[in-house]
Amino acid sequence: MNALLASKACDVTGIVAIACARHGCYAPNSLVDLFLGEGQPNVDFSLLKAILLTHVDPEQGLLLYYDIVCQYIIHLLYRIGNHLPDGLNVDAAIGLFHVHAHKDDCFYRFASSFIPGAGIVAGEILESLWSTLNSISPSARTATIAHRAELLDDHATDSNHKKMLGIVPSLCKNFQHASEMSLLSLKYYDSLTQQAGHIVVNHWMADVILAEANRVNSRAAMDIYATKLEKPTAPVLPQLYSSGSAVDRWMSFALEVENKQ
Amino acid sequence: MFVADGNFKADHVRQKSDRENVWLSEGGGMVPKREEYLSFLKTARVKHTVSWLRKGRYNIPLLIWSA
Repeated sequence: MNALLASKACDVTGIVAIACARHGCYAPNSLVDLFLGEGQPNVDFSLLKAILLTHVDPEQGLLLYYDIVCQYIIHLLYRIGNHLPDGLNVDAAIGLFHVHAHKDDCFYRFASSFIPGAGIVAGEILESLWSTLNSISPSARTATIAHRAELLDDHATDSNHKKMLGIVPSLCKNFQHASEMSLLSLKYYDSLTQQAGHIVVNHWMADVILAEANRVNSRAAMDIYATKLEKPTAPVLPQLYSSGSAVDRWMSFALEVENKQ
Repeated sequence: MFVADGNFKADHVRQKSDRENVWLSEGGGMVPKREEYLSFLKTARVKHTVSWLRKGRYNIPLLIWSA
């Protein structure tokens, strides 16, 4: 939490970076300093630079993984719509480690498992890049701003260079793994289809195709993945917070806040 | 496909003087040009999302939540 406080001691409280979600290469010019918490404008700038300098074509579209994308994406077009390339569709996902800490709806709307074309990606590649960065970044804490920037530059560029050198064996290994896994999941899929019956499966398939077609405009369409069971409801507490002692009111209000989270 | 994330360990301690800053390759790598970034932050459009706690009958002042 210290990072969220304006501090007299620190003039930079952290950094934000953007990297390729598949291979984990840092995107040029998008490693930015944070001055007061992780503000949306900081990430906006980083994103714009990443789009510009990695030459994202509007036809490619863009899928952005970000821990708090469910909030970040809401007013994205208001904030930087005029800076984005014309016709670029920005889709949003949350990394598979972070999505479980969100409310249930976020899982169906933002988990990469449900996004067509996202592939099998955890979307947390920067966490592993941070682990190597964290071993060198303390030495830049008291450097000059310029020297620190160049140290971070060197580290990130070196990380990308090493990635490039190792990319062929790494892709070969991943391809082999993916081929094996795809055979395996096909096997599971077939036996599940057999158990459920073709009629139901066709019905589900139609539902999924419809939801996936609509998900960019209305993410709530993805909620069909949720179980249809009634959620166990929390016991309804009498609305005490308008009566009783001050402590009673405070407690029942606090309980209601917790229920609504 | 991009992934964005913050790192709060890479902070920087305020120095007595900024005069010693000598930029050798500013904007040539992963870190953007400083002036460009700072001026973007100054002119950035911001729109805050409003929590349900601030809506309707609750209307809790923001101060409580930031306390």
